[in-house]
Amino acid sequence: MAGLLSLLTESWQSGEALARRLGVSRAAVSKEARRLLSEGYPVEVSRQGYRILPGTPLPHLFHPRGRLGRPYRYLGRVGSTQDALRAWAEEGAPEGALVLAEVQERGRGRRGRPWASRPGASLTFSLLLRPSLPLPALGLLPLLAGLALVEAVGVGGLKWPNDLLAPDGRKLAGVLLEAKAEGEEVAYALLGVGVNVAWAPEGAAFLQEFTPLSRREVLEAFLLRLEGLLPLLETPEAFLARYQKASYTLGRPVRVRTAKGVVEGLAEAVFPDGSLLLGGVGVAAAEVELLPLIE
Amino acid sequence: MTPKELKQILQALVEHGVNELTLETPDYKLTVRRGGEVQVVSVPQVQVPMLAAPPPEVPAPTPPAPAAPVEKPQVQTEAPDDCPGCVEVRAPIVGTFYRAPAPDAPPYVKEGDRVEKGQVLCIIEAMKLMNEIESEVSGIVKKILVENGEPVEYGQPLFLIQPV
Repeated sequence: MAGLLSLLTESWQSGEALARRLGVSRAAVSKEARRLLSEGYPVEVSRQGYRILPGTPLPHLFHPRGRLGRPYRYLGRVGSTQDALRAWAEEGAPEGALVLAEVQERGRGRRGRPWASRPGASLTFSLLLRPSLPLPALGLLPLLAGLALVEAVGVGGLKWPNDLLAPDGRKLAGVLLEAKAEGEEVAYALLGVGVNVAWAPEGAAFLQEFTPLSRREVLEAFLLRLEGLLPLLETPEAFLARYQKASYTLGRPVRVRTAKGVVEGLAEAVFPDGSLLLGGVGVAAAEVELLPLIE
Repeated sequence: MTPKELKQILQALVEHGVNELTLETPDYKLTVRRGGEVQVVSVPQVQVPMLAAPPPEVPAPTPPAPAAPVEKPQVQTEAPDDCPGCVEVRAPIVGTFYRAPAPDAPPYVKEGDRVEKGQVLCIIEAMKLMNEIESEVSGIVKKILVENGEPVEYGQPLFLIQPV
């Protein structure tokens, strides 16, 4: 039975009313609701009937205010939203195409690290960008995505390049960018974002500890903010001034693990290419660990 | 100067039928000749690691096709000596070189593998942007020139591929 998901709203509707609209029995509605739940869709069932968990970005309830976020695919269970979007990009999906899933069986972060999420409580999506800038000019894109995130939620700050941390240092959200390079041209970039909205794995933080934003509100605000920031890729100084204000890393003693070993020092600045200046050394790819401030 | 600006200058040359242009600013001097090669003279050591890397080789567009788009900088070039006929795949960006999508995953390619045009050869990471580098030719991977996890410079040769 198709269509139950597209009829659900944030208000309760009786099984009888839904069955009538779909032209099926009440038992069929009940069965379909259970199937949707098992697929990860946050359908709520009570004596009042059925509804979708409030704040869920169902396609008919999600209204991006800019050009990013459409076309839109809202999915239950996937391997990872990055892989689903990659396949769509290869088929020719346009910039702004968005894939959001409730369950990621192989959600991942940098270098294949797992990203844990929970249906209805985590926001995990991938956005397709088709940058016109050549690859070497895209070093600021990961930082820009992080800035869009922190400005969209209004909580926390960024650990270079783009982890969103709560004020107490626990992780709220992560960003993963995967690009396909054809020479120096970028065929497409897959911007993957995972936000802990109403739940977090142990040791991490979730947004609703700090702000009452729903998943849909976070998503809509992020897309709009990102669209507004993207032109700043062409004016790195203006971008960096703004990035600096949102940084939890700059001016802090940090330890970074690079492919060449561990470096410790004061995070002094971010270069216009996005790399971090640390004790006189430029770092382009590394894990950053914030060290306690010296009292 | 950003790569985009350079592109715009080249585009303008083609559109207006200009054959030679010299641009001098306090920071650099750039001479562009159509049909010849681009020369970047005295690039300053500006505080931008990306730009301090070797300047991109931008082939000038050929005169018979005035409306043609500017060709992209070459990152795959003919290799010298030890592997005649091989194509060199170079790093299009500064970053960390990875042979596999994850530490416990098998490598994208091994020496001796046959690869198709468009197949992913490796990842170069910069600022947590994972760039999949693909082969622009079909052929045999003759040599992998960089170790997994090593930092690479702009334009550094990564693979030698024998086209078939």
